[in-house]
Amino acid sequence: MSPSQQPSSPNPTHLKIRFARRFLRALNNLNITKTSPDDDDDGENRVYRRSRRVKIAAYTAMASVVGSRRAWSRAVLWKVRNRSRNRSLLSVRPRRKRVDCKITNNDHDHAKVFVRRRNPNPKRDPFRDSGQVLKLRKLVPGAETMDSWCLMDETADYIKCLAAQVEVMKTLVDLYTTT
Amino acid sequence: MSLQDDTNSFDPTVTHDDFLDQMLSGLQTTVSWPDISAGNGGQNKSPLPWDVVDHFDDQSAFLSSKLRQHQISAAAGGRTPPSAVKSLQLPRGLASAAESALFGNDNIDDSSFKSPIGDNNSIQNLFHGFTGSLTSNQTQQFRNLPAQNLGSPAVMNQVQASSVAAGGGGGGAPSQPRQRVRARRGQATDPHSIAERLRRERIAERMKALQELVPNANKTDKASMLDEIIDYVKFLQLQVKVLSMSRLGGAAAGAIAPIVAEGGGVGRSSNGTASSSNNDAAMTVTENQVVKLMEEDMGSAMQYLQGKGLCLMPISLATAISTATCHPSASRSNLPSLAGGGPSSPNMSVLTVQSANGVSSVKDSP
Repeated sequence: MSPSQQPSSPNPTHLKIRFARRFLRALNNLNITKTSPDDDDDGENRVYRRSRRVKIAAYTAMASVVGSRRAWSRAVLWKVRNRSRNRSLLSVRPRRKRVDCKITNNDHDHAKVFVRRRNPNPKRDPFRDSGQVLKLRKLVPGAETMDSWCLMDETADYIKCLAAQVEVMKTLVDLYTTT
Repeated sequence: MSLQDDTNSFDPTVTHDDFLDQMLSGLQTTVSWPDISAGNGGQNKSPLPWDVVDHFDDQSAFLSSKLRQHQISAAAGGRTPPSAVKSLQLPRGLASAAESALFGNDNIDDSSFKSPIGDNNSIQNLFHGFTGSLTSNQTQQFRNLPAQNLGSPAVMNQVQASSVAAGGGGGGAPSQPRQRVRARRGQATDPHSIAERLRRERIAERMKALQELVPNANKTDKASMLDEIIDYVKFLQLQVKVLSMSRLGGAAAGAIAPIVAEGGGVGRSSNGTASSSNNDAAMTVTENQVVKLMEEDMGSAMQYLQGKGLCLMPISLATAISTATCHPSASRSNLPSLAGGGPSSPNMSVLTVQSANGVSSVKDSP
């Protein structure tokens, strides 16, 4: 009964398996490529940076599993790409800046070209901007400008994927601490 | 002087049905209708047949649909003619004019209508025709009625009102090509409100789907449901954050415990490399604090511990748990006299804090 072409909701087990695979691969990459020198700052910052990287890796892995079907996954991937692009711009290395920008800009446009059903009609959308809905819009990535129905849809998918992600991470933590 | 009294003395059903047939057939032909003209409500006396005919064609559709529906309702429901005619006469001026015109059509030549003669003649013809089929009492009634104001806006309203009323009256009748969509009881016919209603239903269906996803969602209220959803999303995001903090292997994990334990804002270990001495120092600070609080008031001590995500438990239970479980995911006890008792592996403390954080965050949600 959904008006737009939404694919059927993914099986959570499949989600978990795919997420676990990508997440472990990202963790491996993180562990291997520790480019920044180890003793540049105190332990706290290092820990914070590392944990932030892990968190970003987790969200990215989940978003790439879902792919471009969902607005929130597109928004997450775009944010991560933007962040890396900004970092490379801010860093002192000026080489190949333009080329990087061009590449990511293309991706950005491509990601944004997806047809989204827009319904900005205030008459049709009475629950658009009530207080709690605003909070929800801030929490769910990429849901700032959606209409209420799409927001609910995205929230449902987001909660499902997030819950799967948390479960996988919990089991991984348990695995790591026992060994 | 209601017409309805007169209709009771009508002819029997058979002739009335014939009469309706004639009316319907008569509607199709051009009839001069001297009194119906747009905006000429006051002027009953200067008709022009061709002017009137234009309006009449517009209204003939109304009338034909209305009358057809009456005919069907009369045939299907077995209605008596008085009631049928009564509902016809709800817009009194219009119906009477229709009847008068149609009666006239039956019995008088069209040619006489088409000639642009004075209105009085045509009206007289109408009423003569009418007398031909009805008793004379009624002619006087009908003669008086066309003198009423029959502006077309009023006609339109009447037709619409009558069609709605007729629709209410002939409930079982099949839907004819009407001018308005008949709505259900208590709901609007406006396309905007229909669209809004559909939209609200879709959103409610989505909310129900969300209810199944979010645990502890037995709330029927939409606002509280939204609150639950928001809290659950926040909780999941916090869990990801905490899990990512503990998701580290090796030496860096040792530094986590004091950091996470001091998340409550007690005080940060300013310069410290990740070493176990730092760990113990933070712990002893906490322990001293707890001891001080416990001397004053047990409740505040418990709250302080809860704020840090720790809990208090007897030593015997702690040792039992630590020996019983194979992997160190048991909750650690923060006892004042912790000299040799508690396990001090950093992984264990991290998990303790993490699980306690998870617990406390669930509890703190409103």
